Amino acid sequence: MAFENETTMLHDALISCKVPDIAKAVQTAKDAGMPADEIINTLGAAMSDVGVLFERGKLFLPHVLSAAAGMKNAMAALDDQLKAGSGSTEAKGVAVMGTVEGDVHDIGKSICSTMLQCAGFEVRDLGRDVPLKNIVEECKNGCNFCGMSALMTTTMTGMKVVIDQLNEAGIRENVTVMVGGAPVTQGYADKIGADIYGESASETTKKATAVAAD
Amino acid sequence: MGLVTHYTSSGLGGIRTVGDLVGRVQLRNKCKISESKKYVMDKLGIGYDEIHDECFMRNFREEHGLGFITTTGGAPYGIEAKINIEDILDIDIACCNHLREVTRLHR
Amino acid sequence: MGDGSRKWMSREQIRADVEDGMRNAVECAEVPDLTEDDISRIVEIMCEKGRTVSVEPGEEVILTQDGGELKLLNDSGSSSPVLEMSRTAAIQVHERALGMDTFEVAYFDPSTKMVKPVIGMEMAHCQNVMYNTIIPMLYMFMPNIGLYYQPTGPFGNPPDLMREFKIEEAMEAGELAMNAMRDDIVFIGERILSTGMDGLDFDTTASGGDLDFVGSLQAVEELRKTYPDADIQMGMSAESVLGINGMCEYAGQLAAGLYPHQQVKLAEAAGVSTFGPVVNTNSSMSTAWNVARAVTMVKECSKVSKIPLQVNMGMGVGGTPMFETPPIDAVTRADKCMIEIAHVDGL
Repeated sequence: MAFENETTMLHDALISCKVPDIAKAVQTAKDAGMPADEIINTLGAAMSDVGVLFERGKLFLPHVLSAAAGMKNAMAALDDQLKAGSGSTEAKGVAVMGTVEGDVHDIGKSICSTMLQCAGFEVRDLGRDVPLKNIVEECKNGCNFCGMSALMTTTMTGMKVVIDQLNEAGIRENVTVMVGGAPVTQGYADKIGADIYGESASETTKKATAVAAD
Repeated sequence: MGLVTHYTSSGLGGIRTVGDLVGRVQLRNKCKISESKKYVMDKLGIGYDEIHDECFMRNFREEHGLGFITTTGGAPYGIEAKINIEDILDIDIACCNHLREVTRLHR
Repeated sequence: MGDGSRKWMSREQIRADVEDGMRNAVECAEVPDLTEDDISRIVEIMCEKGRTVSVEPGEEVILTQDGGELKLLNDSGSSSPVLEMSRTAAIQVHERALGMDTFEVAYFDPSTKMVKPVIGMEMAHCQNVMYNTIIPMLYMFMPNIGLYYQPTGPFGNPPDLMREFKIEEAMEAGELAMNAMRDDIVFIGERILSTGMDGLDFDTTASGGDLDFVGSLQAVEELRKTYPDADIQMGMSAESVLGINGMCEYAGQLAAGLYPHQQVKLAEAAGVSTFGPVVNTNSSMSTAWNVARAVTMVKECSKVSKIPLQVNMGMGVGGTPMFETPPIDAVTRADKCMIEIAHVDGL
């Protein structure tokens, strides 16, 4: 495989979550002739691993953000090459995120927003206890992903309301709906017509990335 | 909602048997379940066969004023039963101490 | 399954899931494998024919309800029948009709920040309860550092600040929120214990990550100075402490990333008297997988713990399916495995 050493070096540098090490690895890979989009894709895959390690308690939120900062710097450093080639510095997608109305739990949602941002999505996080109509209105402003979180069996019903309202607004086809939270299951997601169910923030991010790549 | 399920599968039985007594000893002495059970058995002078025997414990609890599920007029209940539990288990119960403090009752 | 749905599996499939669940626990928490006897026993229990299974006579453990009277009275966010009765009557139902060995009394919105303003009412309620019940009563509330962050609280929200790369500001906001939460926990704890309540239960500790955990441990340490003998239980919210801050420590140990067998040692150091580990159920995996995974983690916790363990076995934890009315087949099997193999002191 071409650039095998550089791939490993980039992966390990991002997992280390040290901004200078990431920058050094990017420069080394660039000097070795590794294409910019391959560098970014390698870092992106490593970013998914960072998410899993965070959820397993091996890395912590400041690490995740450092890795994200390193990734951001890498994209800036490779900007010219990415624009010249087939790569892109544009966001993978725009995600509107929020904890549904009546629910004030937001740690999981915030972590998911962070991971999506680190994975290259533009995130508009509306916070917690978000009125359902506000989620729909923000989606109408232009997004292709809508992520909702709920930690209570009584508030998760709001997710179906939002999906129905996206249908009524005629934008449902353009929006990938993601749902998550402790009481939410794949079965529930299927029942309400959501597109993605994430058991964890990293799983949600992985699935969203796969959809964005299609 | 699955409390009854847990109880029938694995619970000690509360005031039907010795569950509250073992629980109280575990809280007070911060000891593991086997030690808590042994303490209660030693203090009550009963064995393993009796601690989960609803029939035996119903009579035992009534006899010693430790409180039980069904009300029979006049039988110790609530804090009255807990004062008797203090004596038989030789432990302090916080609300009984509080009662004695605010009313100047003596143990 | 972990979401409560039914699926027929062969003995071989169950065995494979048990081994896989165990391996997952070993990998995540870095705990030892179960023994072959343990694995075989879990498979046997899973394959028992009856709808319900139970422990043998003499092996019963302490059963407690950490939802308080909420579980009958009102929607606490997870499956309540909303029966109309007084709080005291609801507690007595648990004592007299539902076989509880100990119980936890709670306010309708049991987060620290919500209980503080109604502490007078809660103290009076506790006194009433203590006079009218026999089983040990603890007062339950949730540390819940999340409510101290904006918009419900005065401090910045660390994950939001970090997303804007305002790392230092995030760290400072988190520490301030932790201190405020800790002080409020002590405020509530001292007043409740002064009524003669048997003890306290901190529920869903570390729901806000490592700062939530450390703040709660500091509060226990503080409460111990005034109430050295009170029972102070600590029930966790998740199997691993989220590293929102990533640097806060307790007793010289980094709080982030700890699993149950590590969390319990910090709890012991703080003066906690009973520990309630949590292992999260994966709703996409089978009950056999989830129970094996939970038992593997809790077994190690039980082995190293010097204090009693009351493992959380509610909806979505301890191998119990994530469903409002979890199937009795799954619940009783999870209970039996947890007691026989992980050797817990209570549920």
